[in-house]
Amino acid sequence: MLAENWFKHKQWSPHRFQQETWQAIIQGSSGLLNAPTGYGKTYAMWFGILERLLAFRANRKNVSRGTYCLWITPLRSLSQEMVLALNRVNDDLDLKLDIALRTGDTSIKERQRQSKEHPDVLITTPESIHLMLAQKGYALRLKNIQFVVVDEWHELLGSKRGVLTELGLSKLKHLNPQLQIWGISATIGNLEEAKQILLGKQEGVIIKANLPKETQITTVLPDVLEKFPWGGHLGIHLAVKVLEIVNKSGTTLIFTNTRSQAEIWYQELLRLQPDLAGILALHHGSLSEEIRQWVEQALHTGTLKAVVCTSSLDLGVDFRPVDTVIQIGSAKGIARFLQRAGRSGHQPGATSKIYFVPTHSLEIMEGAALRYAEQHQLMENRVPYIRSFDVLIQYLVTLAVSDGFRPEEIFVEVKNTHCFESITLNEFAQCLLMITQGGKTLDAYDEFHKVIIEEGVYKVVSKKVAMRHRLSIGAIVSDTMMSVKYLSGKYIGSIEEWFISRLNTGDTFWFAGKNLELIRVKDLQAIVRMSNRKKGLVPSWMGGRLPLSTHLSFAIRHVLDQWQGLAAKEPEISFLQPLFLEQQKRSTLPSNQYLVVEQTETKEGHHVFFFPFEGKFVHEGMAALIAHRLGKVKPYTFSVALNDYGFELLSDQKIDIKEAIVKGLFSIENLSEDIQQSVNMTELARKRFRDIAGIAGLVFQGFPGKKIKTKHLQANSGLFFKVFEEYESDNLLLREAYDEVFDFQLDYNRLLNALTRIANQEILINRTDHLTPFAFPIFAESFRERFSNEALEDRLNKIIAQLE
Amino acid sequence: MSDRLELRIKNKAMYLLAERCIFFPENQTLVIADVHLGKAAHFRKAGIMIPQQAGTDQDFGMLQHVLDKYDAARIIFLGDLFHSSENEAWRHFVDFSDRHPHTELILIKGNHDVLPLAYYQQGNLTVHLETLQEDFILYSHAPLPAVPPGLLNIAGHVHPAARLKAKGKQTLRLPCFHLETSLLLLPAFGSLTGTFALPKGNAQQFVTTGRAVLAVK
Repeated sequence: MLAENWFKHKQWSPHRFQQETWQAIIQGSSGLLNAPTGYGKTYAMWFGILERLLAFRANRKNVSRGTYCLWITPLRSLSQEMVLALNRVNDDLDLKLDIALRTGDTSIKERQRQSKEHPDVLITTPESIHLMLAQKGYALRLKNIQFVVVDEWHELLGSKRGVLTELGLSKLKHLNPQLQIWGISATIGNLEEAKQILLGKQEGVIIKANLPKETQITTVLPDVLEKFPWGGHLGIHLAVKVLEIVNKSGTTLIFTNTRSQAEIWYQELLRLQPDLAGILALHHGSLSEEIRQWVEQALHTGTLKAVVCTSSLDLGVDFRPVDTVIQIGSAKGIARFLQRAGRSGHQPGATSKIYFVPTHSLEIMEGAALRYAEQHQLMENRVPYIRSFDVLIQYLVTLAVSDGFRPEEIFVEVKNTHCFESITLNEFAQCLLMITQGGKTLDAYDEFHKVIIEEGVYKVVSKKVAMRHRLSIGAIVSDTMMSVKYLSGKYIGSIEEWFISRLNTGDTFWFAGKNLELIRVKDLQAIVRMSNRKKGLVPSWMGGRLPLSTHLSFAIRHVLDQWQGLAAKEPEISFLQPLFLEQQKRSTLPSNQYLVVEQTETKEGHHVFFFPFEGKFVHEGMAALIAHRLGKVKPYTFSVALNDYGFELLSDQKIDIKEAIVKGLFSIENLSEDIQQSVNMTELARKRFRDIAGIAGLVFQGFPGKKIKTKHLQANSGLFFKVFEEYESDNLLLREAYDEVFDFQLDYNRLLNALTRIANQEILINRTDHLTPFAFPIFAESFRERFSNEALEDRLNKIIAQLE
Repeated sequence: MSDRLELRIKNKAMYLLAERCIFFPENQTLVIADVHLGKAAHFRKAGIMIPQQAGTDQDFGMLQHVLDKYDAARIIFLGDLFHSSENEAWRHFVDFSDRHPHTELILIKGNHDVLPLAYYQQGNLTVHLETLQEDFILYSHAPLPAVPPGLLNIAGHVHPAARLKAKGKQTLRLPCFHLETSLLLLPAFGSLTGTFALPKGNAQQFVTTGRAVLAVK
């Protein structure tokens, strides 16, 4: 076997899971490999595939060589690394295989070479597969594919890119029913389901690496609790302590939750320790590929002391020099936290070291909760998207752009995927109507032409439509981005247009770790130069509002409930003791026994705080529900603030919460109806619709830096939403927005469980003179939602009256 | 709360209407900006799905409504009357102008008004390419960079909205009339239009809910 030779040559000995995987692949099985990064999962796959490939070719001397294997990864940077890894084996064993990369960055020349020479292995992304499907004659190129690997499947699974993958696979399986499919996944709660979704109706095995892994979690505690803030998200107070850790470690990865947080931390660390200049770097998704690659290279060679990064470094190849990981602020989930921890100490048997840096007092207890969750292996599920009609519509147009499709064939293929298992003929017909005549239409004068039907084949004939479609393939929708460039034309990265539009020329802002002065804005480019000014704005990027996971919420509630017993052995809890006592003095400490509600007045108005500890999204749903139920008694307008621990309703009017609770404020009766009717449902659906409109091709933005003429075709998704609500309220895409709000945003099942739990709790309503330690961080949230069932004119009158 | 608000400038009365346009009683003139007729059809023509009847029905309904309500003799459209190149919605406009042969229709061309001139003639519109001056009022589509002393520039193009803040951290964003020393910006009339939040600064703003219009203090 090739593998044995090669491992001997390298003086390595294979892991058991690698041998098991080779065997399973050679026997022709499909399946899922569950293994962490850095333990040779790539080789576990690759040597199995090699054996199959060589045997396949040996048996069919006269078949033309075509692409044998597609290797799908979620990240371009990962795919680059994969090419290197596979080519290493290629060269060592002198196999002369053509292993090529196909991503959005691949040059036209290389693409042309690929379509002529059909590389043996194509390393690619889900989007690139759809781009290939949008090319004429794709069947000829793709029908010889015998093997597909989906790397980091757990990452794709919980997003619409997972749906893209499912649809891509459905086509490949149609072209070659013998297709062998393998996924590689980190540990998640629903591995079995992940396998099933990937394989569709095929049988398959799961191979687990089961490598023992020690993770050491240390919370960075402030010197004194009294000086540590009760609210906030930055955690910058602990920068000095973070530097201590960096200085005594080899190379450190410092993970933040948002790009703006990364920018701010980078500045602060450099300010505190200027000699880090040159060995401290910044890495996030808005920076140019060039900068990111430089940082990654420097991480490999060990020339960096530390890198401040975001989820942009969650995945991917291992950086051997990294021996320490720091997490700033809540990691929101255990799997994510452990994945980040795993970026250090990946040699088998080594301990991963991760430091947790809380950003406010109460967050300190998450350290203990994370430890509890790690010990009990509370791993989150990745919830797959189902019935994503936006992705289906995009896929149908993709097929229409290339060779056209016959709906009766595609319906069968699509129905075999997990995502569209439940699609009905009627729904499929509606999707077809949307692409052929733009939904329902009444007027004979209508000029809608996207997909036309010729002898039963659905195709796109307009070159403009085809070009626009190719440019919008994908399931990641972002705001309109502006390229940030120096006068010389050098590209630094991209920032959301709305941020730049708030700036005047001459203003300075922090980006890519530099202070930049805006010189001018031209089309979608912001031209800047370096500035010496010390002050500047930091772009705050939208998004990144991940909620606390179910499992971590559970762990936190457990820690809070058991705090007295835990204080002796958990440093976080013993440190927080005075805060808990303060909370008890001012109000009550939330626990499994009590749901605590606090009522207080400030000059802002009347506040009511609730502490269910269920994560932002559930709180959002609960707040909407409660606002709606209160509003049934009398009209109110609420401003709602929330965090992962609780939420607040703020009103200009007094709220009689006691009576409302007695009358069933938290009741699960009529829950579904009340949620549907809550005013905010529409608001939430409108936000969801933004991505749906983008994916389904309603909103066309082009790409950063590339100015594409879209004369008179710009409209924001909010307008589309309004119009569909008014004229076509049964539209599938609109319904999808509401379903997504229900399933993902409000997480109906989780909300139901939470309310059921609350039904067994005693509800304590405390009037407090001051904000409590638990209420303050919520109060300090700057992001607020609004719920209202007052008439617009009445609200306006009240506002105007207050302004007078 | 009222559906109109009277403003007096140099002794000339003008009503700011909740229907997102203005009316001069003196010569029974309605001034309307940014209707963007035919926008939905333009999108559909490009293969972008949007309900066909969106905008059109509502906009003509509203046009008829203000015309009847104030018994206007003239309408000055401050540009962006029609969203883009010709489509079915233009027929509706021609029908509309045929039904009102005694209403004087004037258009000041906006950046979206790209139809050949013959169309406007067919629609019974008198077209001004840049500006139109009546008394001390200077009409244009986009606000003029410089306004001669003593004149008031009335313009559209911007689709202004005001952002109101109040107790309980409430905010409200509504289309508005925006009045500076020599400039009055009109909200967009069309129902299929977005808005641009314009900071108040030293200007006066008058927000409209569709049913009522109110000065922002």
